[in-house]
Amino acid sequence: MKPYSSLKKTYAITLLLLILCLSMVLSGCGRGGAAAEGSAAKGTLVIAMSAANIPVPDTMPTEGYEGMRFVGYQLYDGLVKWDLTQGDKPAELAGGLAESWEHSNSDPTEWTFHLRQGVKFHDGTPFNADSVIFALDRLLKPDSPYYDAKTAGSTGSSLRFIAKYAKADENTVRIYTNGPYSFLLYDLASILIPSPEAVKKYGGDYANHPTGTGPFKFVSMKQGQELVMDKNDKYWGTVPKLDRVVLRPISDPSARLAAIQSGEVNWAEIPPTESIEQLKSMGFQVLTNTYPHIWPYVLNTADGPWKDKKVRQAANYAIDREGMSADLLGGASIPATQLMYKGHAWYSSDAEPYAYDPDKAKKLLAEAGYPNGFSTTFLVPTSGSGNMWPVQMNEYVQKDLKAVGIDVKIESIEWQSLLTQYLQGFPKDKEVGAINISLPTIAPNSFPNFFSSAALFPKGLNIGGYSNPELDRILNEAQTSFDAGKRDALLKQASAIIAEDAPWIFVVHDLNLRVLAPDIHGFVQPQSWFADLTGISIE
Amino acid sequence: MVAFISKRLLLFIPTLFGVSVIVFLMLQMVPGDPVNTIVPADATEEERMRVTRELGLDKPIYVQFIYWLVHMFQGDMGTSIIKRLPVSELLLPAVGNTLLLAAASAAVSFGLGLAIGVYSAYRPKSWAASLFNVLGLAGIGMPNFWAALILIGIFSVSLGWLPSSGMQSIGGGGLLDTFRHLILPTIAASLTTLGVMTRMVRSTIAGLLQQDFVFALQAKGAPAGKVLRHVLKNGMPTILTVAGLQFGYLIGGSVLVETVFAWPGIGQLIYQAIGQRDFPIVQSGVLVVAVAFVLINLAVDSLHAVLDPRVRHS
Repeated sequence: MKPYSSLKKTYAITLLLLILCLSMVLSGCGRGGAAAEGSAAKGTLVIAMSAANIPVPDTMPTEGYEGMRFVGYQLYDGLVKWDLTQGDKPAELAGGLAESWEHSNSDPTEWTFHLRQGVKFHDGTPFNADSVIFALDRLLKPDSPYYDAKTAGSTGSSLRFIAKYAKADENTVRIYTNGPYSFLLYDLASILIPSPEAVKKYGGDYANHPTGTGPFKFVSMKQGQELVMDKNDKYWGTVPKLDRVVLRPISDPSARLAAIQSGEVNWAEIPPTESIEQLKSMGFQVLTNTYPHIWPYVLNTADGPWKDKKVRQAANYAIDREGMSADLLGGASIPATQLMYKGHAWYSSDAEPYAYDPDKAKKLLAEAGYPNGFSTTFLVPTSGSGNMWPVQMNEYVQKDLKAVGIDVKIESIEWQSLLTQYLQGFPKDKEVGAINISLPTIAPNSFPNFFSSAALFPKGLNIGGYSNPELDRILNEAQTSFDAGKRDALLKQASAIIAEDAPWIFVVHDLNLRVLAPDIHGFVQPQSWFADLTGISIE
Repeated sequence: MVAFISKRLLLFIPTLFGVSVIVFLMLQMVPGDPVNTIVPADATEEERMRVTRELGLDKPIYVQFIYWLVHMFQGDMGTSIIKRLPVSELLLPAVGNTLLLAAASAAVSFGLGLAIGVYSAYRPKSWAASLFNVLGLAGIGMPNFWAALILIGIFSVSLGWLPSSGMQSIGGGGLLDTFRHLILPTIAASLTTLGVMTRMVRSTIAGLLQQDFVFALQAKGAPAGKVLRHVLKNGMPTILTVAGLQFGYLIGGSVLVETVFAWPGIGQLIYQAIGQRDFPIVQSGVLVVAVAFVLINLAVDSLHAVLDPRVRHS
């Protein structure tokens, strides 16, 4: 029996040693770890992005508007920029690299931009009219040696109305549009200007050496790990109080929550909604604000029951938006009953209010000839930028519609497949009543792009087949009205018509949930997809 | 031995070619278009076509495949459609990161699995063996991303001992820093493998302990250590086979752990590339994982051949 007992001893000792090793590893080198990390670098803002990778820092960064928010508008400026310093009203356009501009009275297609003087790119190259022409050539002139088809492609519709452009003098640029077009400034806010010297010098490798005029300068990036930016001491606008901004891609919401709770980051995008109360009680700043986002269903108004306006209105009355916002989403959204949210210049207070009224919904369905309801299929995404929490939210809507007799079969498909399906219009080979897809509404273009007859599929994005001549007339007038007040009044009217006709089921507006560490000061949560980091300090 | 390895290496070529063709064809069949990830939703057909041409996606499939293959032979993995960087610049660091995590997890799970498995086989009725048995089952049963969240909750959020995400601290760096970031993902990734290894080692060793040669050795008065050596040598082929498979699993299957810990590995990179239809990354990434699998298999088979002369001479 001796061998056995000695074996026992050997293994007991081995095991003990292993456990000891593990606990030493866990505790020994752990001290001074995570907690210290947060405070170690004073003046450094570490942001946990919801994207799975760091945005490629070209003038139209990848990762959608999150890339634009944290990289595009931090490294670069456009001729026009978003003023994000106020949270109590929707973000408005302000002068960027153009100090001022005028629109010609004699030629409604001509705009003149007076450039800001004395501005330099991060590499020291002076900014002037040539830089603007260079940037536009890079996007609009396929035979230019520095034409970049991918960046041009992702800048997309912002370039569509620019017919030609020319340098008037060293500090003045003229831009001509295809016909009278009053929405130009919104388009220009998405066209960012890189240093011509840097683009020429680095060519295809420019994305590794992004150089703009923005409030932060590019320092380094490691794929999948971090992008580091330092403050631009010579920024022409408000010089950032922060020394450094570090972006970290953390795609899992629980992981972002853990990262901010452990002090590894001091800013986290979209934590899990169920953590909101806990975060507040721990002293974190949980921020929300309205912004131009909507979570709707695009209805197939060309075929089937949805062709009838009463059916579409019935569905809009059937949904308990308050319940969804408060119970399901923990206050991370507000009800949407039209394209824009209350408080926005294009929101109409005269529009159909669409309160939660299942009885009215049933009545409308009966009037439309569906007293016993009907069955339909909705195509919905499983995830994706701006789509919030699609699985739970769609189940919630399904339950509400079922209660009034609309039996919805949910077909969940992966985001890229859904997007492709959306761009190909409603399927011809099967019945699909609606597609659930969230689209930004930051510019007045959203109205004609989604609802005008000119944008009917396959020419544009109005895939549901909705058409209203009166709306077309109003939108056309808005597009050619150069008086902002008049334009806004027209878009307000458009909102009311669209709500009444209900080509979409309007569900909720997202509230841009984010959480900041207690020691972050000076940030204003704007009514925008974007964010101004210059006012932030860490105390 | 040389002949054995070179024969296996020759099999490499058809295997990898087959993988490339299958992945390429599968990507063509997936609905969704990388162009949609680049151009905004309201782009016109013309804007869309311009980008399609730029990416070479307007060419016939076989031309695209040959183009890719020829460049691959020249060591050029192409350029990522979405990230606009050379694929090799993205893939190689990610492979390194995944291998680091897989190697650490393998070391932990194989080492502990062997020790616990052998102990449990020798002392099947002890309380410790029963405990390990239950823990092993839990290890196999618990999804690793769940374990990851619990570990983060305890060691990062509550205790603040270890970082919860990434590979390096901000402004940090160095080996110790990376090591600290490695600990939690390693534990999370190794739980399943540890459970599998423990149970497999235990049953293999327990079976061998009943064999005549063990009794013969004991009857001849061989010391326990020597008996164990003989038992292990007999059990090794089985253990190695499972270990090889598990190592492959650790490389290819850690995407959830990588996501939860924001560990910039290849699983996460390929998963994300599939979502964005970034074909060059998926194509080359799957090939790299396939190469890793084949190499591991080769290593395991070679070890087999070393340990077991019958394999060598078959």
